[in-house]
Amino acid sequence: MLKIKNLTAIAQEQIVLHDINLEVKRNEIHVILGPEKAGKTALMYSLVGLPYIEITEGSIHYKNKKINNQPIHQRSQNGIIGVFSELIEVPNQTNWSLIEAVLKYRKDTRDITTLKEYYGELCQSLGLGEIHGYKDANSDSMTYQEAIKNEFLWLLMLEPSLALIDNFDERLEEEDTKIIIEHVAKMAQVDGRATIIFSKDKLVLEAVKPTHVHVMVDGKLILSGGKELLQRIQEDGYSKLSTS
Amino acid sequence: MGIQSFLQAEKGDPDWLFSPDEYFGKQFKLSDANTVELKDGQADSIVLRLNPTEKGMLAKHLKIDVREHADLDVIILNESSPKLQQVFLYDVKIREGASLQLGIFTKGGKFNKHIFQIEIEDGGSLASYGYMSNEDGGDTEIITKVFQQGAQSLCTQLIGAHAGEDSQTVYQGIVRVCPEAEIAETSLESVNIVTGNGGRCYSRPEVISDNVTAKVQYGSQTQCLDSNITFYLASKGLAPQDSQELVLKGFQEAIFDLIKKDEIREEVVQLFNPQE
Repeated sequence: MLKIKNLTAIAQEQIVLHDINLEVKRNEIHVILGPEKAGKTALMYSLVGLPYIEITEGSIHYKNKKINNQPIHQRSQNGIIGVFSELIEVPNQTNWSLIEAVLKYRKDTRDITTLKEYYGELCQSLGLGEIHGYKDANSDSMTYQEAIKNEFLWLLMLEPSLALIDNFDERLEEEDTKIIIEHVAKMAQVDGRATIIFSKDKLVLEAVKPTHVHVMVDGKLILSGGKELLQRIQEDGYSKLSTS
Repeated sequence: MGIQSFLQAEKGDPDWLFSPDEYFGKQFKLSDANTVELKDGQADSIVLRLNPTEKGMLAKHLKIDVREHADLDVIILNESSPKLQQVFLYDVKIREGASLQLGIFTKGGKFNKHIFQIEIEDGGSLASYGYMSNEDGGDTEIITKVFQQGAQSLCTQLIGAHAGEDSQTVYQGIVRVCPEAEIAETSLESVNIVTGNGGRCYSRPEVISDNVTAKVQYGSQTQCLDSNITFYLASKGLAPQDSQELVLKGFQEAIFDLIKKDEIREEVVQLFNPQE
């Protein structure tokens, strides 16, 4: 589904990704671990297509098509959906009206009444409350917890082929983290879907049961393996891994 | 009067009044004057469609006189091409116990200015609302100057403005609450959105109250459709033009919903979103 080859990228004239190679197939859950400023968010942005990152070398292929220069909205319409940890307020919309409008623009053919019911169920299971849909979209009246849950709500509503999840575990209460992990794990198990989770928290990722684990340090993927890597990171820390 | 007075008005001089004969006579070709006159105790609803096509600079002077205890609903629709320069001056009188719901919806123009001079007598009520938009690289303006003279009179205004790339809107709302206006109420609200580089929404609501029993409030807020919002919505699958359309529609709705008649509301939606 996703093939990243020799990807090098810069942001603000600094190399943030260096010679990244990664392949993600259907039904796989990859987690990319790394300390702060390892380049995880840069990699996620380059996959989503955000212009803060400039690809200088290498390629990203998605569903057998090179997408280096594909606009963000087209990538999204083709199934690459990201969950961001930063809250962007969208004025003059409520949470539901925004989702409803986006589904319309995406020419989503699913029945809107059924989707609204599903939205209500998700609000409830995520602990967002019944009136979440009527609140101002992404407004700063939302707590961090609500904002992150709201992003997951988007992800679940849009049903991605490739789900990209940025550090969501920061500043979350244990109970909220648990709720989100349950949803992520369930979402990632959907047949045909691929998921990449970027994080620096090993404990959260243990619960998601990844099929592949990678370690990223200084813009490079330095190590790839299975769940056993989580244990090594817990014991040795990133600095020891990067020098081994 | 004339251009000097015009400049005084721009500075917010509350005692200044337009003299249409002199002003238009010197600065513009004076077009035909329209008068809307409603008799005592009557109620009516009027839509004024002002879509002039004159190539030169145009000025129009309209009078609206709402008689005692009458109830008038006026909606002004105006669209101007990017090359047109036009000024509309509206002289409005709301007499004792009368009420006027006044909507102004204006779009485009190189220079497109709507100036309202409004007097409100005892128990008179003005509920005004409107929306202006310029994406032509020009300047669209709504200037209101209200003399709230009467006791227990009411004046509310909600004006929305949208400026696109290198375009400008101006809202200047001045209300003078006169010493005789016991227990008067005044509220001015201006909301703006800028969607393009070099776009500018100039906004100046102002209330000068000479009566301590009057309740007044005014405010203004401006938002920008910045790249963060566009990128965020793009990540959900919206093309940049769709993002702008979505945010703008939400912005417009709050004002367009004030239009009571469905067919007029639809006409206004079409005016600002012709592709629908």
